[in-house]
Amino acid sequence: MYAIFKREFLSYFRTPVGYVAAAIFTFISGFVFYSLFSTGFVSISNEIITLCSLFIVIVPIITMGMFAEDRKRGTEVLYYSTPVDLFSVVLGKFLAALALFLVMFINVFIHMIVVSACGGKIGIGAWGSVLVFFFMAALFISIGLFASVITDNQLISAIVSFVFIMVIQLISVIGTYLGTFVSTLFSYMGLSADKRNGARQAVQNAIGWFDPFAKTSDFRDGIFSVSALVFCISFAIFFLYLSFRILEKKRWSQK
Amino acid sequence: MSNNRNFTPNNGKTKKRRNERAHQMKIYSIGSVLILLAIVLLLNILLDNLLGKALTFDFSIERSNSISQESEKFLETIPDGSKIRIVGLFEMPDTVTDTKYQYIVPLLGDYVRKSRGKVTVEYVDIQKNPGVISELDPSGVYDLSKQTGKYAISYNGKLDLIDPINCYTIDTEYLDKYDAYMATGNNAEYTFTNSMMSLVKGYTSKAYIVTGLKEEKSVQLKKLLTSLGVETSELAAASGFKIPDDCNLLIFNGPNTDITESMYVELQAYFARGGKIIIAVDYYIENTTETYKNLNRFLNALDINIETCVVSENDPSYQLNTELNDSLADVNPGFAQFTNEKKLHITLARPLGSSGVHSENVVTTPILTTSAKATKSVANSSNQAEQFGSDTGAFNVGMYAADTKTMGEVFVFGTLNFTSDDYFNKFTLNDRDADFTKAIVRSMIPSSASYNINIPVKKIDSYMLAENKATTSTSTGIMIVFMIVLPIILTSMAVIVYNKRKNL
Amino acid sequence: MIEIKNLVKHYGDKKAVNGISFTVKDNEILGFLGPNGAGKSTTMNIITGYLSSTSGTVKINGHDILEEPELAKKSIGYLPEQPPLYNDMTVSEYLTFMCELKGVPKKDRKEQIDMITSMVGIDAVTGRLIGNLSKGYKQRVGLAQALVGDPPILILDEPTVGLDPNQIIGIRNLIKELSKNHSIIVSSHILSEIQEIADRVVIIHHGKIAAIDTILDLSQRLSGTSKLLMSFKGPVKDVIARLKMISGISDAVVRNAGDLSEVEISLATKAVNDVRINIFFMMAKCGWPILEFRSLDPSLEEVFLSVTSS
Repeated sequence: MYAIFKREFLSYFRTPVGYVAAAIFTFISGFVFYSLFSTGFVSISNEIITLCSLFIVIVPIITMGMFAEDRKRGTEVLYYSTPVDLFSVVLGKFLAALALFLVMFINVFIHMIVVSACGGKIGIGAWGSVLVFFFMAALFISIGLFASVITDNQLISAIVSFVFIMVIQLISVIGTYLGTFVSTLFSYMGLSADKRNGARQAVQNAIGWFDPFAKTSDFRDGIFSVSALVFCISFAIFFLYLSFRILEKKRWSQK
Repeated sequence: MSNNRNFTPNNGKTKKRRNERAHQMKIYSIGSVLILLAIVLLLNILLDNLLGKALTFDFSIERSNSISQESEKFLETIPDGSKIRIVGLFEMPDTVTDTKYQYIVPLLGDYVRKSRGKVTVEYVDIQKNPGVISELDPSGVYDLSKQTGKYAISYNGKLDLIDPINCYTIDTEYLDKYDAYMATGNNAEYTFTNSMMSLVKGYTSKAYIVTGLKEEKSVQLKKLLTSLGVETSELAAASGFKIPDDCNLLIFNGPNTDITESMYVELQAYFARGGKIIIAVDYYIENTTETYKNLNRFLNALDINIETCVVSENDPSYQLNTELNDSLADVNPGFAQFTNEKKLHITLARPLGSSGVHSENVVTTPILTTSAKATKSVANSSNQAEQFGSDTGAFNVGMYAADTKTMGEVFVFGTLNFTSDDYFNKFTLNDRDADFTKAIVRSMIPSSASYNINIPVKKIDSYMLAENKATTSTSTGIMIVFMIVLPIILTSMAVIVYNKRKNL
Repeated sequence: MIEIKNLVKHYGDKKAVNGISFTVKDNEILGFLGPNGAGKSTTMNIITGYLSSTSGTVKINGHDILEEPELAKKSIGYLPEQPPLYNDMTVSEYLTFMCELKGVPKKDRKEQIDMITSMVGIDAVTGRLIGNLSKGYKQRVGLAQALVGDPPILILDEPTVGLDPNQIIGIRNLIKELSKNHSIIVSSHILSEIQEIADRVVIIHHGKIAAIDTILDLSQRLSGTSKLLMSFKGPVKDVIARLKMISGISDAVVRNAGDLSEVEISLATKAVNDVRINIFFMMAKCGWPILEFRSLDPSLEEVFLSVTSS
């Protein structure tokens, strides 16, 4: 696993990809930081939460080639024919992407130092947001990785992960609309307002339960919820395992 | 294709056997994915529902996002099966940080977590979902369509509104200087817990409205009381008039005839044991000759006397529609906590004079006073107002008396604008006079007094930078370093690495 | 030692590999032949664990590829048809990565990489980017990759494809050199190459083994006779008539009756003594000069064609 991790991570910096991604991230986070700083109030957690919305763009770019590239240049065979476990290949690639995020995130740590030097406060909420950033990154990278496994086409893979992440970002909105839809449906069936509201609420809650943004929204205020982190990491593991199984399927599939 | 599948029985058998490995792999593969998914879902649901609360840690300063022991204890007292529904009358903003909701949204989340389903919080844009208004406030007492941005708390049909800005203590100096709010302390938990408390516990308070005295109708008044969490009941002025022990508030809503001797005795006894009373009368066709002898006997002991005449307001700046008997009256600054208005609306008001009796422990204060140009008038036989007496002056039309020892309180109004259906139907329950009534009822019912939970004000995070360091030049420096220098360095590194490796 | 038993691989209704069994002994080179789509690459992929067979077993030094994949894969070096190369890495970065991937201990890595690079002749390009190398070098880097970890078994799928003749000879010699302490399976479309280096040949066709034997045995099994080719100057008809009279010659056919006459001479299997002497004296007696004389053993091409067309 370490070999894969090392190769994938270093390959970001052997090609311009890593530097360009870091430059873009530095610029955007710098802009966010500067806009906060110029008001005289800097809440680092605010900055981080704003940066979380960049996942939808950054993650597909980083993950789209993860396995498609291997298939194109024929290096995929190495993962199957060398004594390396296929799951550790998946894990190594995943951790390499996460490490790239860590490298980019150094910016925010520098911002924190600047804030402390300027008499500002790095509240516990800021550290909570750092945690959220990486757990969310883990979840989204695993989704991006999954998207790169299911298709040979990098563009399709990028679109799939983009749409997937967008759906997750809009999940509570979707829940509200579905809830209203169900409630309207029930009103045609002649159910009472009480039951309709109950159904609307139930649908909304059930769908909203999958919203990682809602689950982790309290971290920025200093409330650390273990179950929210477990949610992110367990679903990340699920997507990694699913990707592993799909890769493994190539070996025995008779299609 | 079918002719290609002409397997002999033997061939079919071998085919099946040969496929076994792939088949097993498939089953194993799909099975393990499904099992993992089930484990992940189960683990999350378990964590969320069973341990979510135990595994949530509030590291914020002063635990400002968690409710305190006191609130938790209160939540436990809420009967099982009943629900407190908190509705934010606005769309939940994407980020609450640095808004007035910053300390409220996560705190309410904690109420939800720790109440085991007794408290629910939702955010509804009432412009988009007007249906929620009729759910929360069927009688329209609170006029929720105009309360965007506030929180409505509903419990068993009772409602309370909380303005988020009232959840903070404000730096008044800053407000004066910059005309902007700067919070110095966070009162959110205090405000919300006490509001819920009075909704839940307020159910035990009960108001009796005395009937049988040719009084005004009290439909709207009852609505108003219910919305405050006060149960209402009627008390007939029968011969065996007895004020029940569970009476927290006794209301005389515009009696057109006097009370009886026995009622007077009962009333006096009720007050003596700390009773709360609202008396409202006016001067109108039905009662122009009524002197309220027995009622005045009770009030005179409190240095109040209902006079048998009407106040005519001669100051045009107090008159409404140049009517002499429909005007404004000044609110005594001592009652400013009950209303934001400087003046309230009075109609056909009887002046409330002094009886000259000063009882021990009794403090009598005027509430509403006319302008100094008012005069008193009486109706003649054809019911036309006729000036009598020549004295011009400021007359009290609302009085308050309290026994500092027994805690008995009485509000007396010479006008029905604070209680009658006539008035409320015309001006609604959101009128300034109605708000005043709500305020005095709230001040008298025991819920807010005896169940009040004291939760200390919490400090507020400040993300302010040191002013001497966060100067324009530093922020320009930051812009140059983080938005120009560093990205350029990284981009040139990309170019260097690319060029160097390209030629390897 | 590779033992393959009853290997079957289905793709839908199609059987890409249908019951292949063979064994590769230690220090033996096995040539793997077959037309495109015959199942060569599929078989190799199954042996290396890239694909899983529908049924049948592959044992690498006694380890089943499905049951003990790590141990089995440790013993195999695989060079697929398309060498698995990262174009964005230099040769030494790539070989270091392969060492890590195959779990070569850190202290042995440098030594092993040095040895392999000089062995396959890429020590001059270790600092260069793989993407910038010529096809021949890329192929050799691919071979180097297979040698990392010093596996006792090498599976080489078309190892000389795209190389110039010098490089082909180099690789060929290298494979021969390696066969001293490796078991090797080589597939190639250049049949002469297999003929030259392989001890034994497996010919597969439509997923089945069409023939398996040493090259010599195969040739003899296929044609009961051996042949000679003779170029000469002289009257063709007379020469043929006289040739047919020499004992031990069963037939003589004119191949090219142009300026220079060629005749293909079939010899009877029973012929024990060398008929070439008799031919020489006969031609000399008649005054017809012999310009060339060579023996025509059946080539692998012929073997291959005759096996796969039947």
